[in-house]
Amino acid sequence: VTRFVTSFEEIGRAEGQREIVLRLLNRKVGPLTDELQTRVTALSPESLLTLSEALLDFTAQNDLVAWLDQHGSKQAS
Amino acid sequence: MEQPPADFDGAWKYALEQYFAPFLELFFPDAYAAIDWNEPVAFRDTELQQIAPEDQEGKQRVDKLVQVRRLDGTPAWVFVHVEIQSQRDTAFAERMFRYHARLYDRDRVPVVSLAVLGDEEAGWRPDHFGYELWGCELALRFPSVKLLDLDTTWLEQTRNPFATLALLHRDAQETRGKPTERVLRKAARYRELLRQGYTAPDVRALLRLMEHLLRLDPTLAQEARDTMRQVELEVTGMDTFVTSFEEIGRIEERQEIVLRQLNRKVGQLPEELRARVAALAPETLLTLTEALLDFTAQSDLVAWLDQQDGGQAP
Repeated sequence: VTRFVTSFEEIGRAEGQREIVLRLLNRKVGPLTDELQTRVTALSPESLLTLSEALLDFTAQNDLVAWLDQHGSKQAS
Repeated sequence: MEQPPADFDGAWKYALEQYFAPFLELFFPDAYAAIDWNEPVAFRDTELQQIAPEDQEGKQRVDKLVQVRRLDGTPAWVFVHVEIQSQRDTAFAERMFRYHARLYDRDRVPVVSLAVLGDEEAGWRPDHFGYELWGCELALRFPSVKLLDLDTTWLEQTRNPFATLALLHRDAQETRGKPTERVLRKAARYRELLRQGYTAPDVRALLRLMEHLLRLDPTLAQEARDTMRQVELEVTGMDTFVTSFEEIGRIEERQEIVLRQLNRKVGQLPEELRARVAALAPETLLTLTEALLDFTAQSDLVAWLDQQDGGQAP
């Protein structure tokens, strides 16, 4: 069966991704700073999906910062 | 930004599978009137593959083979050929004949070949294939519908999903390379669609067709979505359809992430566990994403799922 999705569903998917990733980051490494939250929200859907698995190994906010630096999301200066 | 091409093939395939009876009713009423619609209609994709093995996907054409029963109880085959682009030579009519003959040869049951010409060349009107040689004559004449001929006002006033599809098909052709006009057309069509009093499943199906035919680059797509939400609020007082699609996407994404995380945490899930996770309510899935952080083995997941099922006490 052909997948026949609308762009509305794609928007929903992106929102669903951000929702879960932010929720779990919060739980794993504590409440995010505004700046970190912005950097996570700005990630592409592919990167967010990778992050959703990577975060399982995080223990501190440093882990998230290191992951973001490594994945091309440079700190705003 | 570049306008993504319309997915004509996907749209017609989807619509024919969803709305085969309305398709015949609108375009081929003689066939519609002679078929017993109380009997099941069967799409024979496997047989189609056998009959037309040389045909590949993505060729701007759609073939559908459907088995029906006539009102007198006898079976018949309906072979639908949708052609998106015109062809100069006789290839299309010949192809229709070859498939027709192969199918007849296989089953010796009457075959009805129907053509939908979705191209933009007014003069291209194949309607037969045949030849005559030394007193021997062969002929296949087939009914066809030329989308270009259809009266727009009539289509707009007709409540049939294929009337809407024909309009969207023409919209996609007319607004090719004119993205701003496409946004306006899309919003206007959505307004008509909502006013026509279709059932909710029909609106959703037609919205899917609209999305696949009137595609836009990401920026304009966002603009179109905002306008369509506004249109829905104006016409129905709610934004149910738009929101329900977003909700579908949100839940699918939730499932995908949870399953990925579970695989990573406790290893590849057996099919049965996968199914149990996929069946969870959206809110429960969200709870599971947090719970799984502490899982170390599949038994943790099983225990958690058992608990959700109403705590079947041992």
